[in-house]
Amino acid sequence: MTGRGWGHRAGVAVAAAALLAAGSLVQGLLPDPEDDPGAAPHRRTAAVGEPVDVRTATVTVEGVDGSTRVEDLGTEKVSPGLWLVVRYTVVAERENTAMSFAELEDDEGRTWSLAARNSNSCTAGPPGLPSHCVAVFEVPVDAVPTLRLSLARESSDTRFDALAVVDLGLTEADAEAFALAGVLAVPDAGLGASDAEEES
Amino acid sequence: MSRRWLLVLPVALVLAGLTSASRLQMFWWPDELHDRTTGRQGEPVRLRDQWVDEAGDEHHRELTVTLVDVRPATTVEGFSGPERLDPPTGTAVWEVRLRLDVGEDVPLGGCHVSVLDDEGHEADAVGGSVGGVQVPTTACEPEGRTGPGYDGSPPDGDAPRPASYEVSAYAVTAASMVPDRVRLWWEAPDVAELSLGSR
Repeated sequence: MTGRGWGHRAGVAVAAAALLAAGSLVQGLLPDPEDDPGAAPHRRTAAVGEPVDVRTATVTVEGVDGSTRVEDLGTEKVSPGLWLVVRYTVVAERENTAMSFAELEDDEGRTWSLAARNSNSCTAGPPGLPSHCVAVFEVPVDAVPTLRLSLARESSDTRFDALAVVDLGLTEADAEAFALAGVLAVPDAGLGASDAEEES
Repeated sequence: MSRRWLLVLPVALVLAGLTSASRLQMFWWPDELHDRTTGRQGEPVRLRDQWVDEAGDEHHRELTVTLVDVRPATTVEGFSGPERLDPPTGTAVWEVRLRLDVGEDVPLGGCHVSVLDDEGHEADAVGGSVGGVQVPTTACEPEGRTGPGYDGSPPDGDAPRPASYEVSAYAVTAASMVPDRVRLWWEAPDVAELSLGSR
């Protein structure tokens, strides 16, 4: 019973420590219990002007304007950075649908959601009828050249759903031009043909 | 030996699917309008609708609904009288006329009306701005003569709701949509589905 020496005990201790270290390492590599990669939204990428099928609707970003000053519902708002006004169209597939989730992201991983002074006006349009929507974001000038806009149906839960990710295609030159632009009127959101479509 | 286990695999997959089927029901089945009471235009339809209040208590209401007509809306009631509707190109506005026969003690707030075509495309009657005119939101009670709220209290100053009355709901659709049937509901899964004409 007393035959086991210090060498054996040290070996057991080293093996136990190694097992603990290995277990800790493996646990660190495992996904967090609250992570659910299977629930991640299905990202569908596009450029400005390209329709994106997001299952319940087709979304097209029509254009982006920018300025340090915007006029919205009779109120002028000034930004120390830039205001970006994104116009996009939603055509519902089977039932009234709007894009309630809108978020900008740049290449540094910074995101701008619908908080503070940012806004997204989008009427849930019936099937087949274009709903003209407007998202307004306040961003720093250096973010402009790499911005992507994400749009989805539910504002608080994008799990399992399709997510339109649209590269706004902006450049440093655009950012400089926006910084020098005059007051930018935020267009109204609404249903049906736009004024331009009516004229043509 | 391993081949025998392969034969068991399909059975195991079917069993796994069956045992997890209750999850599907929990997620979306109660929110679907699957408990349909059907009828035709001009035909009174008796609807029984159940709902659960904030305390988790179950209630029900019974009413009779008749689809009177679905027609293109030419005017809507504005603040200062009827306003002419001139929908933009490619847009249509449909007036859904419903007659309701219901006891005055039945709460009817928060109803939903929609129009469907024969392919199942569904347009909600939710009002909104069309061609510069504000199309009214849907209410299933006469203006100024509403019944009790869900807490049992009647709105102040309103006259009692009549036992039988008609209301209009307005659905904005694509101009190409041809209405085939109308839905009326409060809380899923109960819904009245009323076909137009002789369909």
